[in-house]
Amino acid sequence: MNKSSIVKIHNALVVTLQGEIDDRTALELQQEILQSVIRYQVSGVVIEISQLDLVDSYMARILSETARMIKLMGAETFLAGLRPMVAVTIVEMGLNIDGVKTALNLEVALEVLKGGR
Amino acid sequence: MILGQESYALWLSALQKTSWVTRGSLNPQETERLGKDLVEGISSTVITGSLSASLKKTLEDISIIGVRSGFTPSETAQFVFSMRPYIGDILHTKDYTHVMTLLDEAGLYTFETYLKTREEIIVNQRQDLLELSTPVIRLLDGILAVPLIGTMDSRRTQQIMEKLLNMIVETGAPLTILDITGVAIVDTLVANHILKTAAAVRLLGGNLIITGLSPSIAQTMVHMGVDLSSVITRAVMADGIALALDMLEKEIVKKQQPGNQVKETK
Repeated sequence: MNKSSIVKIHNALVVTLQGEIDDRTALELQQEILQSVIRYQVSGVVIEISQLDLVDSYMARILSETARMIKLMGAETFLAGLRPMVAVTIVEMGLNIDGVKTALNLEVALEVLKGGR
Repeated sequence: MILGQESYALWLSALQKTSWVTRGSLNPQETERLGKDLVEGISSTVITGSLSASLKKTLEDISIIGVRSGFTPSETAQFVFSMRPYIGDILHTKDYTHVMTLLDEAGLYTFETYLKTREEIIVNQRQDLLELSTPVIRLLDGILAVPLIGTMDSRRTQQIMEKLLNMIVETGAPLTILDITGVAIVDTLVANHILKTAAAVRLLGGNLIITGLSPSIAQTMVHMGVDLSSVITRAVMADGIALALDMLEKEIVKKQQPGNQVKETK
């Protein structure tokens, strides 16, 4: 089940990924995120994935691609709240998450976006 | 059931004089109990022709005591083999070959369990050592330090990585200093492990500073064509700490009053 949400806070979009996300939902989410960037005119997107137990190669690619798309639209993307085991899996599998900045948690990411650093 | 009580008593008294009892690994009562179990086990084995579960259990007990007491494998097996001259009479049997074969089998079984017990101990110790040798230190507010000592294999790297990542999430520290001064050999494999750790830390939103790259390590890295440019490196840990403070926009200043104290300014 997909319980993900997209919320606008100040000048940023906060996307919380939750529950099981299959390939189709991932693509739908990507669509929705991109639409929301336009609609809310935000300067940054924070994708919060602390609720995800698993990031497979497809998910990693989607994340990386989404970040590049957002970049093209002139906004920044932050990945926040990766779990240690997820990070280890991504590194061990040699997955590439290019173009995405990471932050320890949502708070840090929002602060960085607000500070314009 | 023990038939040859006389021979049995002789064997027991012989057993009491071995290092098992004289060195205090077993008290006379325990020796008697194990001896009794052993003879009963062997006598039932003579009928069935294979080592019974209860006999195996007795033999395992003997091996474990042997390992714990620091006996050699031969000394441990001696507990069983000391029965050789007596076993025929104890069991009232004339079929020596059959009994001896079984006794040998029992003796070899202690050998096997001896090794197995030893290995278990070694595995446990290795685990302990791993945990002891990979501390993650909270150096200053927002800075973690990991001093690596010894050899870096994939298992250790994995463990360090897990421990470090958990600590980063727990403390929210944006910077980690990984010191490799104490790593005996730094080769491509180790470099790879370091790069992996750095990548994982970055995924969490942290940053890794590698310190302790001595001239010789720097030379090896360049000669082997290892690209460490994606991570920040420094020669000594002090430089790493200074850099970390700089990155956090903090500094250590001298106190005005007599006596020095670490103070952070933002």
